[in-house]
Amino acid sequence: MLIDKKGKLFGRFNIIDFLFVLIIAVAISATVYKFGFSANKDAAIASEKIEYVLKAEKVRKYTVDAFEIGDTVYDDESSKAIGVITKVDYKPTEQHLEKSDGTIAKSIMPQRYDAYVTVECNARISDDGYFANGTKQIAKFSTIKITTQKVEVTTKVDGVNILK
Amino acid sequence: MKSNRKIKFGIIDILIIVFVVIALVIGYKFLNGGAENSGNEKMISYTVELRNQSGEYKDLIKIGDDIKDSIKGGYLGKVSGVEFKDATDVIENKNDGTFSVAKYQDSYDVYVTIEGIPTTYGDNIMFASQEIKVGKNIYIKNKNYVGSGYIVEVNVNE
Repeated sequence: MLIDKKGKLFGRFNIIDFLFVLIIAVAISATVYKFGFSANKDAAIASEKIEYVLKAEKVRKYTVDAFEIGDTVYDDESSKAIGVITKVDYKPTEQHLEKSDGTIAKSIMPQRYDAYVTVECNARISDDGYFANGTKQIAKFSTIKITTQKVEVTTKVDGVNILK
Repeated sequence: MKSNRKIKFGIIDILIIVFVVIALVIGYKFLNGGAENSGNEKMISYTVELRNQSGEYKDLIKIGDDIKDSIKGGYLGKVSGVEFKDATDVIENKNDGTFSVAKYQDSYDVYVTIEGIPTTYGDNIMFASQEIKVGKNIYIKNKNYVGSGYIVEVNVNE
C-alpha cells in the first residue's frame, strides 16, 4: 500500500511532510522558470545578429554627447537590454517653416541636432519582424524610448540591417 | 522533570532546511539584482540646467551647498560648480523662412553642477530614488532656493 496505517507514505514519509516538500519544490521550480529560464529563453532563441539605427530628433548637443560607443541600450518600457551602441552620428536638424508669403521653407534649426545611434544586438528574425535580443520588435519608423547608463531619450527606428 | 525526548532530524527536516536556505539565497539575489555595485565609491558629477532664471540665483547658489530632491527629499549631492549663460531661445523669422537665436534680457540659464557618491551605480546611476541621466527632469532644493530643470551632463569621475 502507498500509505500505511500510520499515515506514512511508503512506510517512511509522513504525508503532511511530503505535501509540504512538494509545495516548496513546485514554488521553487516556478520561481526559477519565471525569473531564470523564461527571462533567458528569448535571448537564447535570438540566434541572428542585426544592427539598427535609432534617430533622436531635435535633441541638443548634450544628448548627442551622452551617447557612448559600447554603452548598453535598454528599452525603457521593459527595462530589457536591446543592444550595444557601435556608432554615433549627428547632423543639424532641418525643419519646415511657414513664411509670411504663404510658402514653406526648409531651414536649419540652431542648437538642435538629429542624432543617429547605431545599435548592434542578437535578434530573433521571423515573419513578424526583427526582435532585439528576442524580445523588443525593431521596425522602421517605430518609436522606442531608450535609456543608457547616462541618457534617456525617445527615438525612432531609422533602419535595420541583418549582419552576416 | 527532565524530558528524555531527543531532537531528531529526519530526511524531511533536512530537505525543508535546504529548501528554505535556497529560497533565502534566491530571494536575496533577486531583491538585490538592480542595485549592482551598490556602495561602490564612484564619484559622479552631473549638471542641471535651470532655464530662464533671474539674476538672483547669482547670490544664492554657492559651491558646497547641499542639494536635496525637492519632491522626494533624497540627498542629491553638493554643488561643485555654477555657470550663468544668457538665456536664449530659437525664434522663427517668417519673412525669410529661417531660424535664429535670440537673447532674453536680464535672464539667465543657470548650470548647476552637483557632485556626490551615488547610492546605486550600475545600469542606472541613482542618488536616493532619483535616476541621473541626461534628459531627466530633476527638482532640486537647498535651504535658500529651489529649482527644476533637465540634467544636461553626467560624468563619472574615476
